[in-house]
Amino acid sequence: MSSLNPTVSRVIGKFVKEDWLDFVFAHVNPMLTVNRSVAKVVSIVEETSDIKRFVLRPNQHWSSFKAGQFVSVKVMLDGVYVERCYSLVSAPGDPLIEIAVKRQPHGKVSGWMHDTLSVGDVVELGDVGGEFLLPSELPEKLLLIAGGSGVTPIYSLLVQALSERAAMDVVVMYYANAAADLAFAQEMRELAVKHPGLRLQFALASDGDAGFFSQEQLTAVCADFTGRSTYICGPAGLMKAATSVWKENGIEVRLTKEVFGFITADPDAAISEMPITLQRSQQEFLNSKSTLLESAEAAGARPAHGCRTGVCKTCSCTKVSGVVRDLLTGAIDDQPNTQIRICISEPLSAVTLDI
Amino acid sequence: MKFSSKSRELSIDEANAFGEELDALRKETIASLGKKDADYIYAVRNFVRYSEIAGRSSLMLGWLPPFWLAGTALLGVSKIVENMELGHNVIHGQYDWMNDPTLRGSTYEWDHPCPSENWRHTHNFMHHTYTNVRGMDHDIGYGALRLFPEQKWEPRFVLNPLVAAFLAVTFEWTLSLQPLELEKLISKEKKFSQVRAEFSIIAAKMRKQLVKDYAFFPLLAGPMFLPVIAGNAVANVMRNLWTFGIIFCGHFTEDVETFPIEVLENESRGQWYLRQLHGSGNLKGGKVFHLMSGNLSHQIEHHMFPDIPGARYAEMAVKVREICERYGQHYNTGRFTKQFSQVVGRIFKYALPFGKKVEAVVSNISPISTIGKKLPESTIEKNAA
Repeated sequence: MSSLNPTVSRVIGKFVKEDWLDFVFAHVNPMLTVNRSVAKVVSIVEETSDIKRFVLRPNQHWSSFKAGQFVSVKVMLDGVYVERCYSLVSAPGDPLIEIAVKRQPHGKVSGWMHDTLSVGDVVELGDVGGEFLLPSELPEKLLLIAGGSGVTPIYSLLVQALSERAAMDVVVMYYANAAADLAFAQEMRELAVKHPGLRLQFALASDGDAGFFSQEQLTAVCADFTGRSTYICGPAGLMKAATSVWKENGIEVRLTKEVFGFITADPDAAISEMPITLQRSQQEFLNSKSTLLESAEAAGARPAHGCRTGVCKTCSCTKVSGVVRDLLTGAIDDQPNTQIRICISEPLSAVTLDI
Repeated sequence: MKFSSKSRELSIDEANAFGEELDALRKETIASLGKKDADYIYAVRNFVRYSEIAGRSSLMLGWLPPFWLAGTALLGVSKIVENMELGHNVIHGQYDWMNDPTLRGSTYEWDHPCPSENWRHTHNFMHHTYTNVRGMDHDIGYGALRLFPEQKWEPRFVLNPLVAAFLAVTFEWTLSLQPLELEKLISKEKKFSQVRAEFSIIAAKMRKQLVKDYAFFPLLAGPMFLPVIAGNAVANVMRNLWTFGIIFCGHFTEDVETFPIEVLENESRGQWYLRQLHGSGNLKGGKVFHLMSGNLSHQIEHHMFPDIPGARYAEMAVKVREICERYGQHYNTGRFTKQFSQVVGRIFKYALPFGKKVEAVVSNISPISTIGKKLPESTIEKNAA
């Protein structure tokens, strides 16, 4: 009883609430749901001292993904559902999926996943997303640059590229603090044995200058980097340094970056410059007033609203991404997919609303 | 703002300070929301689900009187808790902070013929923003009753007691019709065609409720058709009488005040809090009573903090009351029997043309004729500020 006929569930869904059905189903099997994508933890392996790999068995509502994409994991912490995105490191099409999670300093979700989540537990999955993808037509030569836990999508791209073209010319540059911090190193070494076109370059901070990114260091190990399609994922410093090198060489278009982590509020930018996106009505505008509601109205949009003072919640909507400040309480909300009242919210970054 | 009441009149500075203290309490409470509150609302929801399943199952054996009685009582209690502690509070967005889409105020649909969408407008917006402002808050008598001397007397109000009794028994249905403002048909402010167009969304929800309670479950019971239909009807009436009693005690007790539309102009946050306080009344009771009333027994706190989980009102009430005492503000509370008898008193008294001489000027604003009319632009803007 692990799947429910979609037509049957649609008909029942017209009369019965989905969460009521899920409640009933959960008494039979927590993996049985009407629509929600949930997954059971099959195994947990410690990859490095701060990265754990979780193999999950998703239920029938799991949709496919492409190498380089991430999935959001929803967990309830202290009464609040929070979501975090983790790169998928298993091959697309596998019945089991795998994510690698780095324990972030003070990270609530990563900490919970490392300390509390156990084999056999069921977690809820959100959307699959991400534009960090290989082109449909593989380039001649690839350069993949990873820094720290940014290795996860890089590893996925590597596996994908080699499975599409076994003899592909690929250089992987992987920056880490020390040898013990290298994740997926064993797998990559095995790939290098099987695929002579793959060259691995592990750069360790413990080795001094040779372990840090610079144009000299790059040229020393990969002289033809200007001729390669390059993918990079890593800490902000590495990304910035690489971007400027690619810019100086006038080849920025060949560099694809994965920005992971959350958008942070930009204290320097004037509030009026924040781009606001209304997702469902497909409107984009720059913030011009103190609240999201007023700015949307000034731009010609007509979002639902009532009291305009934060009382009635008529204007409540899902903030898909971005940082906002609650003008009543001063609280700052930088989480994805939270409910906000746009009549009392001020944007502190680019904001996308599900309106 | 002037109050005819048992409360001391506050200067602008005092009102601001009063508001700041309540804002601080609000902030402190919101910051402390967490697992305990989430566990509580999930427990309430599970209680609603299990009691409904048990009640409806028991009614399937309805030819045996004990099963019929137990089933009906369980279903009635289940509906009351769903409407009051779960539905009403969730629709206010009290649990939006949990980020659980099944408990989201903007999408939750309750076990009640009034579509949540309509409720969010007439209740969450009109009633909670313009609490007890004559001409703005349609909950003052629901267009059907005269409960305050400031409401203009009309001959139809002689029937007040009968109308009130009818409302009590049919509360779920009449409340669903509230957004139509049918009294405007009498005053010719609204055309029948307009009412009919607005009725379609309500009709759809009503049909759904009717089919569920009076066709689906009775048919499912087969030979037990009649006991089930009777049980469902009695459970619904139980819920109606109870919600009528609680809700009428919230705003129609003796000490409750209503306000002229002018109070909205330049109303500060502190004055808004004062209006909520003076327009509401609490009910004393134990834990079960608070649960069954959806914590509307803390009507004052609910009006001051409509988006804070109801289960927190009891602890907030201690501080609110203390703040009110320091500012010389009357805190209207009492046991259900006392408060409800005052409501009944109003229903009878204002059936007759008793008025108030002092406020003769103010009562020029007819409560009925201005309902639903757009506020002057300036009022809305100031109110929003």
